[in-house]
Amino acid sequence: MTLEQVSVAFGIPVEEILSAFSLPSDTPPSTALKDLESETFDVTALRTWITEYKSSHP
Amino acid sequence: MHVPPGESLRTSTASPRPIVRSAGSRSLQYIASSGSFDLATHLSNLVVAAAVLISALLLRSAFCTGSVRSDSFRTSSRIQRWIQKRFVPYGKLFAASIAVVLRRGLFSINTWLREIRRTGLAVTGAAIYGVMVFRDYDPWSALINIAEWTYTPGLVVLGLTLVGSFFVERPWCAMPVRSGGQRAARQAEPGLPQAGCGFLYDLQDLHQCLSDGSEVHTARRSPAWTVFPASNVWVSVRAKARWKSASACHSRRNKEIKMRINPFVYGVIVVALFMGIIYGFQGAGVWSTSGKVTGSGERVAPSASDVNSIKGG
Repeated sequence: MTLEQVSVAFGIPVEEILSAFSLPSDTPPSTALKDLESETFDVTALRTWITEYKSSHP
Repeated sequence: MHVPPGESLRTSTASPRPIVRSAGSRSLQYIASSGSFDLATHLSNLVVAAAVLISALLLRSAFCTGSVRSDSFRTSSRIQRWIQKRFVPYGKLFAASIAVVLRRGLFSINTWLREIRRTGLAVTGAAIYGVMVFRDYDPWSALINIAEWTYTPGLVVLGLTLVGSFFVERPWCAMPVRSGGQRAARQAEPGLPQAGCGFLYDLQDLHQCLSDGSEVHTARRSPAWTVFPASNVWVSVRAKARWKSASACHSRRNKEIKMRINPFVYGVIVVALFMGIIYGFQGAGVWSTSGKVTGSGERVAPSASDVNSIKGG
């Protein structure tokens, strides 16, 4: 899955996802999540963050 | 050499690989414990597995002996029988030559292969040579790979097996895969010369037949050794007599289970049932070959109500 798919599905701007995980702001939305894996970003952390984000932005 | 199906190909393919053999147990264990598919398993795998099971239940061993086991193509092919009839002299000569080669060469390999069996060969191939032996070289796996539009050296082995089956009984069956026939042969007649696979399997039948309490005719006159009728291999008279006895026994068995349906019609029914099940599930939308796309080929999108639907792949 890509950043754009997650952004569209959960209604979260790509820019917010990038800044939340300190990812480069020029990261293409079409980038696959697996290609972003690093010490600061992984799918599990993204799920947790989205859950918290949705609870704070109902 | 081998390209994993589905995820890395432009056209996703249905693969029974995650369901069959050792990979199947892993997949089923994962599904049972987690309640979801692992990365290598999709609906298509389950549908193909269901088709295999249903076909096997309704049409006995049609799938296993008719579609999968390469060495069984010979038994159901009239074309091959036709060829064998026309090339009997050449076939006998070829079979005799192969039997000698097998007896002196390949079956000596089987003696120690029997000790390490499949696991040892697989581990050795992977650990020392980095080769997945039974994935890349086994003709059975080659058939699966064909379904995935991938081609391995096993396809060459499969081709050689099929061509060889025109001339000799089950050229692949016992040498690298099984040794039950050889054991049965030794039980039936200690010191028996080792010959082709079919010969050994026939002797396995013989042994089972005799175990059922069938009559045993044992010739005790000399010469002690004679030519075995099927493969021109020298065997003891006692073994030959047992063979004749078992042949009669086997014939009676064949009469009891003789197929009353035309083999071609039977084959059509098998294929129609098997493919019908698959197309039926596809038509009902119960089908996917990749975690990235749906059954209709659309990209899978995460569900807004479930963060666990976010996949990293």
